[in-house]
Amino acid sequence: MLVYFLFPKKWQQYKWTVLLAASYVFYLWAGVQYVGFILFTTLSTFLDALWMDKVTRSSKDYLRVHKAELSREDKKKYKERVKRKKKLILALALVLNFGILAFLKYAKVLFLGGTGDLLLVLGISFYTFQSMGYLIDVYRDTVPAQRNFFKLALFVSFFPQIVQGPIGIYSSLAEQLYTPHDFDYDRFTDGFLLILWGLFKKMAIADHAYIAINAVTEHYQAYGGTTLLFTVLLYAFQLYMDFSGGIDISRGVARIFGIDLMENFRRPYFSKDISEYWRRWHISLGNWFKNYLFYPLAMSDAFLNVSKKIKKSKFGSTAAGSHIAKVLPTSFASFIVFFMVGIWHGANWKYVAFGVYNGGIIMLAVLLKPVFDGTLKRLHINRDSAPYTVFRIIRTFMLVLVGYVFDVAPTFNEAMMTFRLIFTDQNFKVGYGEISELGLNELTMLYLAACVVFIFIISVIQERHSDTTIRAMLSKKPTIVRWGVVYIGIMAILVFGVYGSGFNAADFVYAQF
Amino acid sequence: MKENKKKNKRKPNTKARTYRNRVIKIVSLLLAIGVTTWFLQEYMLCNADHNTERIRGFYLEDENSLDVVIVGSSEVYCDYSAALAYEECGFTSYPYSTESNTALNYKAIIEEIKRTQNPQLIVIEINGAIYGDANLVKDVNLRRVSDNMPLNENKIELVEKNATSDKIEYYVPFLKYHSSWDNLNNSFWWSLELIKDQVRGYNYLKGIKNRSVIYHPKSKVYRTDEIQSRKMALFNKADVAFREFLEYLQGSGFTDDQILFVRFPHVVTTDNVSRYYRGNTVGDIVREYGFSYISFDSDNPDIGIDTSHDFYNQEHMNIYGQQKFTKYFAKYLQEVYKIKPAKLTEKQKEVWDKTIPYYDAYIKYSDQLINKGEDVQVGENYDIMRQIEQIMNK
Repeated sequence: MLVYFLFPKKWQQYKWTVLLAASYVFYLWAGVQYVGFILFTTLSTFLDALWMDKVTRSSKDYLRVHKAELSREDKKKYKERVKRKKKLILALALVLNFGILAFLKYAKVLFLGGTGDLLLVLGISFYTFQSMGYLIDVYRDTVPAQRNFFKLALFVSFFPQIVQGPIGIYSSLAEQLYTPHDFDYDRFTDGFLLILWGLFKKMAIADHAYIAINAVTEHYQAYGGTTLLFTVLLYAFQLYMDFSGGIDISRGVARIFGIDLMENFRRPYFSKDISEYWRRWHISLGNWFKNYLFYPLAMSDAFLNVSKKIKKSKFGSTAAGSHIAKVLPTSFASFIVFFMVGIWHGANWKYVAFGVYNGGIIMLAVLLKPVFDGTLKRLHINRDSAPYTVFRIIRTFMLVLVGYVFDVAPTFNEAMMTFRLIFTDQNFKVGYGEISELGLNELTMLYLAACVVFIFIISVIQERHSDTTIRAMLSKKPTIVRWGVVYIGIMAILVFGVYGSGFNAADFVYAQF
Repeated sequence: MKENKKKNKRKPNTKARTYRNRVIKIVSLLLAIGVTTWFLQEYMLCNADHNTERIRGFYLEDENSLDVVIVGSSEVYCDYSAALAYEECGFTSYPYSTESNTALNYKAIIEEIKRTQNPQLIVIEINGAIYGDANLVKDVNLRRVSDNMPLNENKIELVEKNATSDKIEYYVPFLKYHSSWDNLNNSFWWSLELIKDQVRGYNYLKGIKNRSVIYHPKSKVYRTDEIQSRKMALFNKADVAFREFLEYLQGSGFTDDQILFVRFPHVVTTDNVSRYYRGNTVGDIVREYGFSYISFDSDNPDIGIDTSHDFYNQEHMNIYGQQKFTKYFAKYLQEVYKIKPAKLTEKQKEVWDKTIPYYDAYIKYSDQLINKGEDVQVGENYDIMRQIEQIMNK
């Protein structure tokens, strides 16, 4: 940080090299063996983008030079040819890079029979998605190809986001990285508070909950329905705290350097339906899939043709048919997106089930919307009333919990067993006994319960004042209050944080993906 | 123009004031965090127990005010009372001992004693030399000593040589113990006791701890005079550590009249007889290096110890055995090692005199517990001290 902010004024245009050096030091520090992968992705992305850019420019030159000679039909055909060529160039990089990602994720299951270890390359999913997003943007001609290899290397490897995102978009992130930023005290304090908040969520909440979750997953079959239900509930809290805490830390660090990374969570457990949940949870991944998979699929000729065929059919003339013809491309595209999200999580049937479950619910919700609306109308339920909103939030949270069962259970079969036990094996006394043996004593349990209430209150405030942040609200308070909060925050992390021998505070759940 | 000039003059001042205020705020914050963390590390979240209270109590003793320091493991603080020895023979002593204190810690302890005191005699109870290899590498056995030792070259050497986990955690114990807030009840009461000792400048009971139980041996009790020639080799790690320690003593110029190796009394049964045999081996090794060794396991007819009444388990004496043994051992030191009563200042004498009624009340309280059949760990902690003070006030 000092090197960045004390960088000589006359070389300001090279200030970004400090960030690049820091990113590579961070990456090398995490493991020298990983660096080959990220360099390959950077180089292949760089060359592929330049190649596409060259094709685009030469085609434009060609059209300009031969403007008079070519008929409209010729121009169209030429453009099609160029598009096909660019598609092939893009596909080359996509296959190579997603191929590496897929190989590292699935080779263990496909070629090693599920045993043995393959390298878990730090942040490979996140930098691959980010790089491929950039390539697709270059293909679409929405951003120019980066002509400086090192600048692209910084975009791919920017250290605060390399571990678990958020997945940046070139058009909004790259320029911020390359622009020299001066030290700004307000940004610094804002970033610092964000880091503190993230550390608190991760170290002082998530890592405590992880102890109990880990105890259950290590001997999964030994527990009854009550304990498993408790574990899934705890997991919902732990995962949110872990992942959003990590993102807060990333955003805070970036903010100190004058860079705004996108928000990745917006109080997802307040969602009123699953679609909204996925717009509030892991937003950058959702955006990526929306921009680079959902829209291309939903707008593809194949999907639109199906829709047209339904419309023209006898069924299409009915109200239901017309609705289905209208929403089928998007709902089916959603299904495929979530199927892909499931597969991305890992080579395990439980993740496939997770994707099918989420995609299926969204697809059904869209397809059956008229039925639901009609039922509400018949029951005289006001969609916007507070009780119905609370009902929708709780319903959505429960649907999310069902999805989490696939996450928590080690295998698909054990996930099915969990569902069975949750509904057939509820015994509070036995559950209490089991839960008290999970490595958390009563005081820690009480502390976690207090944290749930605390996070809930903070979330309600954030939700009600979504136009501003708690940090912005805090900045208007007297000095003693602001610094008191910082003091309490730091002490809370020091005392309640899980760290020291046997713990690695840098272990984030999503770093493994 | 004038106004503009004024504004220009004010600007740098405002900027400088802003910077100054920020620096003040940041330094204040860091100070507040540092002080709070230090307090928590020292008192609240330090995994405190009787070992902490005892070792910290040693450092509260005035410099060069102790005539005898006894080094060892649990035998020392269970079997020997410095307060009773003072009452009986007038010399001051202190147990620099911790639970399962191993021979690996001895050198650092002796160096600490040398640094802070100038005792007429250092007594070493040899239990730490007969432990198995697993005990020697157990982190907790090192930490009970190192955590309570002030940061200096002796602690650094001890940690650097013996630490088995992250070394930074030995120098900043808060890193390890910060999570002990989940045992808040225990931490709170111990912290209160540690603070009271610190404010007072000494502890009352000089580190003793015992259990209000009478042990009745279930296995065969040996007559040690029948087996005192039997020996067994020490475990490898303990053997190496103990010999290294003896070499250090020789190299540091300690003479036989400055150091005494002892074995405090035990009930030798079929369960622990191998420890007795190893104790005999330790005696041989000690003599090999030119120091004296007395085993009160073998040579105890004069003490009057009753193995069916004076122990709380086969390794440790209860308050009855403690009183008999302390009186005997204090007299022994006085007669054989010519330990003279300390030349204490008025204030020091006042402090040591205070230990006597506290010790008497401690014995009375323990006796009551034994008679009521209540098995309690009786040491200088908040609960016990409250009971003892109630007895004193009656």
